[in-house]
Amino acid sequence: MIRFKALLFAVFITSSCNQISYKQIVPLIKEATIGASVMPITQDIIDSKPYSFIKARFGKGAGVIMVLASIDQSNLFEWVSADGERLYTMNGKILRTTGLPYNINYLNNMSPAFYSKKTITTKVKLLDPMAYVTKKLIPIESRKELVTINHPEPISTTKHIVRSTFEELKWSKDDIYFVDTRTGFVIKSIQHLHPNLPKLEIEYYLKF
Amino acid sequence: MIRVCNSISLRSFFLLFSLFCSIEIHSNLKDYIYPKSHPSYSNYGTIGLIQMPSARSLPEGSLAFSWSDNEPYQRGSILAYPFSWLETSYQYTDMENALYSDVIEFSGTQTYKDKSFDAKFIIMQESKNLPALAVGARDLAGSGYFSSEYIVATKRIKNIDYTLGLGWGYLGEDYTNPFIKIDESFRNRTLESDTTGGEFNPGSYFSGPMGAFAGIEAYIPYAKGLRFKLEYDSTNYDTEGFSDPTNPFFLYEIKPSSSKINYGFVYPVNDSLHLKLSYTKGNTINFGFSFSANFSKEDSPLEIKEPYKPVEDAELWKRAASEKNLYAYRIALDQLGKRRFYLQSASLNDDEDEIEIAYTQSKYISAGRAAGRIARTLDSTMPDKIEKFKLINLNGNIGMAMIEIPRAAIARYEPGNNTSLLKREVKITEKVYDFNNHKYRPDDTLPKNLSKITPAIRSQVGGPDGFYFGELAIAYHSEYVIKKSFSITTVATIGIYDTFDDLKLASDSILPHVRTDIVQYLKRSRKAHIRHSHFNWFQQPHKNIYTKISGGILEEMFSGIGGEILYRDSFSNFGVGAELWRVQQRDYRMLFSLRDYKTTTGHINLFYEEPKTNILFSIKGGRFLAEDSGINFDIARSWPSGLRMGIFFSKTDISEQEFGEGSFDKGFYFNIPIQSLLGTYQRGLTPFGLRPIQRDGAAVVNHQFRLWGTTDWKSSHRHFETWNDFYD
Repeated sequence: MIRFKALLFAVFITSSCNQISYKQIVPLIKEATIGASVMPITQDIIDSKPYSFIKARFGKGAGVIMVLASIDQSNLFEWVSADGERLYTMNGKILRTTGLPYNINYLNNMSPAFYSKKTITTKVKLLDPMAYVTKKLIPIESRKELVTINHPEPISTTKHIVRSTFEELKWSKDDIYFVDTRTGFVIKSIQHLHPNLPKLEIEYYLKF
Repeated sequence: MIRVCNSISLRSFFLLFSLFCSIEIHSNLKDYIYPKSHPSYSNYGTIGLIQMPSARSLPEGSLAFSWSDNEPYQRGSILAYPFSWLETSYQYTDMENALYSDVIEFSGTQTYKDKSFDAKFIIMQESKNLPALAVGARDLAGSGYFSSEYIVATKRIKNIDYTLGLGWGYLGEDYTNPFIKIDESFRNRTLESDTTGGEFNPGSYFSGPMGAFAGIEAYIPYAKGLRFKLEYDSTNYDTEGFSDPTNPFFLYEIKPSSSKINYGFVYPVNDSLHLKLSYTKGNTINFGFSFSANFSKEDSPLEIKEPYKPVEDAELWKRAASEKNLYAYRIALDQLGKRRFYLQSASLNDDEDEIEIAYTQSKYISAGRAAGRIARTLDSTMPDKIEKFKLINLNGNIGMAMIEIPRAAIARYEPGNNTSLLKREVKITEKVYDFNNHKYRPDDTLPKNLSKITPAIRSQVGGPDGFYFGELAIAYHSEYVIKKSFSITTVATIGIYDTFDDLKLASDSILPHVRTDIVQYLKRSRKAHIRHSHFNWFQQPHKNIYTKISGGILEEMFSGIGGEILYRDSFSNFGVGAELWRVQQRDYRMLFSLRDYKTTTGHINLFYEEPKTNILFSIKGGRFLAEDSGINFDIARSWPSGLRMGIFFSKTDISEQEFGEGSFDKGFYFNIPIQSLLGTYQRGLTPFGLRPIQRDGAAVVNHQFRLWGTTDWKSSHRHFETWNDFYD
């Protein structure tokens, strides 16, 4: 959306300007109107990466590769992009971010469970602007449903839906986790982190 | 005892801490409960309530566009905020209840187009107990159809912005003017509405009876920033605009106001785009939108993520560079080239502990960032014996200031990103760049032609025939470099689609038609035309003197030959120059043929850049294209991001009658850095300029590559104002 705003302004400003070259303006228009083309993850890409990685895609963006930088004692995974953005996940659930336009940090109740039969309440620090809010994760649905994920090879998964709310902001979205029925690992998730961010879709490619 | 004291202090601490946290949480949650809460625009086009102004403004460096359909007016406004305390705007109003001209046959179905300037000064910012206070004027130098002044106060209490104000002119006439007690001349107001206009009329400001207005802008919680507006409207609609049936322009009577209460909603789609809908006068529905963005910071409105990429295998390169000076030069050439710094020449001798390089680049606006990236690349790859880097930026093959950076200081201050300490050790010197003094140079492949094809837009904005006329074309850009300091630049276009058919207003100027034949130029050149094609020869005969000679098709309306000279010292905020041109008017088809009109034009140019505010004052005195003589003033503020906002006005020895509509030449412009629109570092700027009306008086040759702009990095101030970017 930010890029679309800039494009609008660019169109207005180009009344006396031709310095935006053809090569630049065409991807801009395409990205602003129909979204960037999704980066496919081929077997070659998977094979070429020595470490675990994820493909993270905000809204209609193209998606970026983030590599696994570290795993701490509590099994908190740190994923880093080439531009320095960082996601910290625990069993697929994002607990902290840095380097994004808007960031979050779970302050307590770092439950490893991404899905629980009970409602989980936790404090979350929102950044940019900063505010402390109460987050509730309400289980909605957990079905033993076979879903085919867009991995190079189809994988059988279980789909869990968790309603994520910030009570003070009257904000509520449904997060979805797809869990590999064979390994128990989350292989894909759609999470809503921050009121000002679009949904974040992640595909996990674990190499262990 | 100690334990008790500790217990109390601990409890007090937690109480205070809890209180502090609760305040902070409460205040920060507001940003989410009432998001996108920057001020919104009125139907009039400036920041305000629905029809009434408020005392709000945007941060400095903001630009905005506002449009509203407010029967019988459709109004487009361009707004600029050179300071956080100043809102300036240019309004273009299509007045549907009046004819375009007092000659019905000429008007056809065209309705009247009004242009005006507004200004609002925030004389007191809002504080905890006091409101923001502003003084402003509408239609300052236009035809006077909306001429009014106001004093207004605005205070935010919880989620409501309260506004209370007094208005003069069309903003009300219900009360006696209190300024009469100061001077009797405030008693009567002379409303001079005419169709030539363009002059300031300070004698009428804040005079005559006044009105009072008030209103609220209520931010609705959990509604994505939606606001509700309610106001008491003091506008005197009975006399506003074209209300007199005897006026030859008058077309129809507008609906009389049946209510002084207006209400409406504003919905922010995002931080920049606002939609608005309102109900005014008790009988009129209005709608519109506004768009605003701040370009004063390099990372706004788009974040740029292009960190410095360290040299891979740096130690291997450094080892190779230590073997031979030639290798060191080639490694520098290669590694800097990968980072889009193009090495033009270098000096590196066995008996010296320094390397001097001359480079060109078109990627970074920030001189500090460019210096930092070059210095770090050299630090990673050059032999250890090198203790100092000397960097000369070239533009048009003329040297700007030379920056001397001690190598050891780069690493010393990097951990804390301590650019201010680094700056103390950096030295800026001046010298004449001569590549013959440098031992190492890339192979000369000149002459060389650099060309590209791009889409192009040609526009006529805010003219009397309509707000916008445009042409979409394909443009061929060529730079034929014969010598490093001598090149021929050409831009030629082929038109694809245009809306110029509707342009019809012919020039009525009694001066030579040096600019007012614009309609002829636009209409007759639409198939194909040459925008410019001329040679440029840059020289630097002295460390502080720069010259340029150009000849050929200089600009859209004139061909000729001439030159410019500039004296500019790196450490002075002053500059002085001169230019002289012998030109002949081009044919309307804008190819190679010429018209009969020839003239000689020239000016003395004075510059002063105030370093704290980055305001550049330029004065140009001499003979103009229509052979009138006088002075042109230009005042522009710039930001390290590259954004520039400016106004200009001229006064020459022709009378107001000779000048024609508008009375004297004036206008505004802004240059927006392209990188703000694309999210990657780019040095280019998108220029936008507008005159309320283009006349022939005070016109200058629009030659390319003016020396003051070309030598921008000559200024030491330009380097140090962006020095914080060194380690970025």
